[in-house]
Amino acid sequence: MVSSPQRICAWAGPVCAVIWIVGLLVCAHFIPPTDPQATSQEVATFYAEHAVGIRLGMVLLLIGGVLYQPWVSVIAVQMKRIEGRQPPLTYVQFGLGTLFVLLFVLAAIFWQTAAYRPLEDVVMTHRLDDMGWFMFLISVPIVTVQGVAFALAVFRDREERYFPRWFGWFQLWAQVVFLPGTFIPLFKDGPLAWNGMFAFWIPAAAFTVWMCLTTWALLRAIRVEDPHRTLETVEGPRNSAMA
Amino acid sequence: MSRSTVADDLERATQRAGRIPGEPGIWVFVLADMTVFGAFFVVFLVVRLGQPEVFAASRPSLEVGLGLVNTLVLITSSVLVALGVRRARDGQRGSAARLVTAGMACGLAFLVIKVIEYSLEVAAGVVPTTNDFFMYYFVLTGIHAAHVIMGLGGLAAVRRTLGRPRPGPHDLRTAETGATFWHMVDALWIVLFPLLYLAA
Repeated sequence: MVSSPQRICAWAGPVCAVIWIVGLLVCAHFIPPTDPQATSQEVATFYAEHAVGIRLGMVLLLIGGVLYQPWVSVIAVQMKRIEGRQPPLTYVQFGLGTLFVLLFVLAAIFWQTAAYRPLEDVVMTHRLDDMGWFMFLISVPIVTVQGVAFALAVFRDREERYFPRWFGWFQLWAQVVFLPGTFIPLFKDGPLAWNGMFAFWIPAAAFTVWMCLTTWALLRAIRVEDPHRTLETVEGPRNSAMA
Repeated sequence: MSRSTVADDLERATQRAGRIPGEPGIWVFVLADMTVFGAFFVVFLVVRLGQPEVFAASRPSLEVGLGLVNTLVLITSSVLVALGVRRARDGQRGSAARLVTAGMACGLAFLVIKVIEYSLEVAAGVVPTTNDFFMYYFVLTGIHAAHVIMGLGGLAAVRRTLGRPRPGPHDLRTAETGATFWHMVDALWIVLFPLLYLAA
């Protein structure tokens, strides 16, 4: 039988990605990101001009961030099928994936605070904008180790029962592409600044592809019957009928 | 078991037409990663188009000699690893493991030379923030160096596999997978070197 709570959790992934894109791009006008070289006055003016949009966008960013957790949970469930009764990689993925939610929540709070009274103290608004971008992008190692744990579990699935092996390689590749984001504090300009090609645009595109392909692989793995479970489901109704 | 020659390899390749070296998944990684590097190179060329004088004036500050040495070191390393895989195919595991170890030593030498090069440049007052040319030079070679480190990790796994007393069913596949990644690291440098150090 196909588990529907698991499918709901898997679909939470793309839903959260769509909510992020609507929140950041359409509501908050955060894409392209603020220029790290902009003055405090320019940043504060941007916040004042888009105050309502940013507030709504940050509400969406937070909701989307929370929906990341069900997705992490269903990854954990599928990883545990591979790892069995002693699943360290499952716990690494689950723990770090859950922590990753916090970085959307905190970034949303910083940006929300900046948009709350944008012009009262422009330097404060500017610093909160900086903090939001740092929170949002430099925490990439969290998702890197989460993805590497997932990839290692996929490689343990020798018979490719739940996940194809190429998907494990795809996981590893995605983590390599995300990683430059963690170096943004060293740059205010160029490809590794938080609005740069290597730290923002290419990772953001790869992240979208990663969420879509991972969801596809999850939905595929959920459909795979567990040999032990089919026995239980056969026995289950029979027992209840007898009771 | 005789040592194979290039002709043997060719013959085998034609016999096994359609067979992919290593596990197919590594090619997903390699092609995806090369696409990203391709995007990096395009970005570099577009930025260069905007300020050709800055790029032309900055290039002579790079250590071309050390860059060339590193190119040769990495090509040598790739050849050693390729020979190692060939020995592994012939079942000569001990000799294969030694060749992979030699390949890894070259990889480490590459990193050491790279660090010397960086320190010479920084001592001469050249840092990523100097201008866009040096920004891209440090970032692109830095990301490549990160790939060298990952590749060395892969080769270490290959060495461990070949060093086991009993051959396993996936040994050859593991060796080919690690070697494939290593050749990609080499190929990327062969594009990076002329792009940064030589191209006018």
